[in-house]
Amino acid sequence: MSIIKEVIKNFFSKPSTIEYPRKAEIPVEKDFRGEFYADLKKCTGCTLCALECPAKAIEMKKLPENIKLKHNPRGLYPVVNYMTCVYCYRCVRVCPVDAFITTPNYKLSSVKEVYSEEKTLKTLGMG
Amino acid sequence: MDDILKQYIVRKEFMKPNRDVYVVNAKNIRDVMKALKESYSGGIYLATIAAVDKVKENVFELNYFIHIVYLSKTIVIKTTVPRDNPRIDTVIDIFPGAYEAEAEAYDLMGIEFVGNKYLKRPFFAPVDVVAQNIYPLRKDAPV
Amino acid sequence: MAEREATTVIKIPITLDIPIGPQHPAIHEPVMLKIYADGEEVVHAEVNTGYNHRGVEKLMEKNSFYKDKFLSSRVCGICNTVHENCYTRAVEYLAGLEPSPRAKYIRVLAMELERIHSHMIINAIMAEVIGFDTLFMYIMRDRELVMKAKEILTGNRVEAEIHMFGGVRRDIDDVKKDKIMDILKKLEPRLKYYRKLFEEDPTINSRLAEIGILKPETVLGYSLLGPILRGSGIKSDVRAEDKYDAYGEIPWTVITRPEGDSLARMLVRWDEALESLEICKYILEHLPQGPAVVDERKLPRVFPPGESYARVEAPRGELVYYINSVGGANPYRVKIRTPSAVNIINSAFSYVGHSIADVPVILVSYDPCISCMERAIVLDLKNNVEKRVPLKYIAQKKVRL
Repeated sequence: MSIIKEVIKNFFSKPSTIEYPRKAEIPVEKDFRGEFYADLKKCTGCTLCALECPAKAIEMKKLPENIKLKHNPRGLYPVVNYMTCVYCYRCVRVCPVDAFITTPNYKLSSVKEVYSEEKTLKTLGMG
Repeated sequence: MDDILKQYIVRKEFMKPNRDVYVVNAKNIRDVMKALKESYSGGIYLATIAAVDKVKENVFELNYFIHIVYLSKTIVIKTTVPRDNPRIDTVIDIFPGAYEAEAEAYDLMGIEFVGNKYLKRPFFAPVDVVAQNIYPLRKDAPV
Repeated sequence: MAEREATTVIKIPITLDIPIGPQHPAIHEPVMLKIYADGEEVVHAEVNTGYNHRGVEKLMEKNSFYKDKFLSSRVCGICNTVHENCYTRAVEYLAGLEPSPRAKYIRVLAMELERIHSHMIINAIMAEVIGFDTLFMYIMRDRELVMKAKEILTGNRVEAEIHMFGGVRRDIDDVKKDKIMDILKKLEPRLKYYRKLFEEDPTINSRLAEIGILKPETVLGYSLLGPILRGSGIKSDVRAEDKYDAYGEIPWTVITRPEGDSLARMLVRWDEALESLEICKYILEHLPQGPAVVDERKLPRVFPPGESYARVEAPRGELVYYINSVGGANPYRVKIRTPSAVNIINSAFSYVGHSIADVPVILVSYDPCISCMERAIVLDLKNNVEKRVPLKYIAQKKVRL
């Protein structure tokens, strides 16, 4: 047998390339491991996520001066560097209060949005 | 298995999960390998050689992992070599598959296999490390 | 009689020295094959190797056991699930943890899906090397279905970080089970069609049959593993001998072929892919109930001293991890031995006697876990000219030597 029959059949059907990003979108699962950021209403500043990251992509920063939170005595919150992160989700699983919000967003190549600082500060209603 | 190697065994231990370890003297390694190959010829191969650097006891420890297809088992043969004179006989003519394992142990740890004429220095390590005469996997090598 | 001066000098090269050099972005070792050829026939071959693979073992001594798990899955891109599984099981033997039955079945499902897509890619590369580009494109198009199934199960198309000491990290529910079952049903007739094509097509037969024959004693003596061993008639498979995870409870068979040439090795791979598909369908219908996900906050920080040795069946052979720990949070010594290291370095003897156009065919049938060694430098010693030629053109006899 030869491959001729298959070739002739495919000659008359539509091509199977997806023309991304101009003409079509790629459907992704809902629990794909994409972009994530911390929720300041729950974070207690224990720095476990920064200690356990295999790629050293999380840095702890101090909160701005005028905010005092009762459940965050040290006043620290995590900032993720999206270019260094490998999306293994170790920080999400190890957090004792489940303070990370996860999304399936995978379109992350940009020059401006490299740190998760603005998204994290927006959860408190400012930024 | 015990009666084939009875004259060479110094001690017998266990490695998890349930693998037999036979500790032998470094001088008898070629006789041990020949005895094993003759009893199970046609169904035995050498999986790998793992070298461990033990600084506190001042020895290098070598583990030979051998797999026997008839019994579906892997056994371990363990020897030690002194750290300031690391030389041991080669087994490359009994098991030609030891070429890659011995080349790696020589290049990265500095153990010399007497009788193996294919050993050469820049095999895995890059050229500038070789020029400074450093063996990368030893515990006192700077990183 | 007057003497005449010599006016021309004719240099006759006795052998040509052809280094088939490394160039690839993937993670395994770069290898340079130096081939000495006399006319068209190979008389001697040497293997020179490289570089940065061994930095992994030194790096693992400085990090904790948990960070090393993420490091070990990044040693190879195509077979990352089996690396994770071997490391996780070696640490579980050391610490005495035991995963639940449902977690064992999910681990086996992830590994078998990876075996299918790895065998498809090496067959596509073999078709591309002999010039059959149409078949290469068809196999890659059908491989996208397997990547989608992996994304549904683990959350990512390539890096499936699904193992953790004591179980798995994600669970599977009924909606996902139906989606994966649909994909498997679409994939089965395609795999059967490709297997039939490989057996009966005259082009593939004339390039692959009777090339690179290996006898059983030679294979065992040189420790070549995986489909090379099973393509020469020896019945040995780590999944049947050690019976790790759930392989003792699932019915399946070991596949061997007696001939020992390149065509037998490729057919063993297609048969194994079909067998993996049956195992995946059995698992999806017979999953046991119970907990599978392990809570990562309650795992121990410090591990007891001891040694352990774990083996696993990667798509390319037998993969081995040896861990030595003296107590504490970091391991003392980790040794990794991948099947490609042994298959490529120990096999320099088998190119002798074949013509140069057969060298890429034999190399690809050993399944190097490298993203295709691409360029060859042809030194034309007569004219002192160096030409850079892709490996494909040598295999298709378009270069005149």
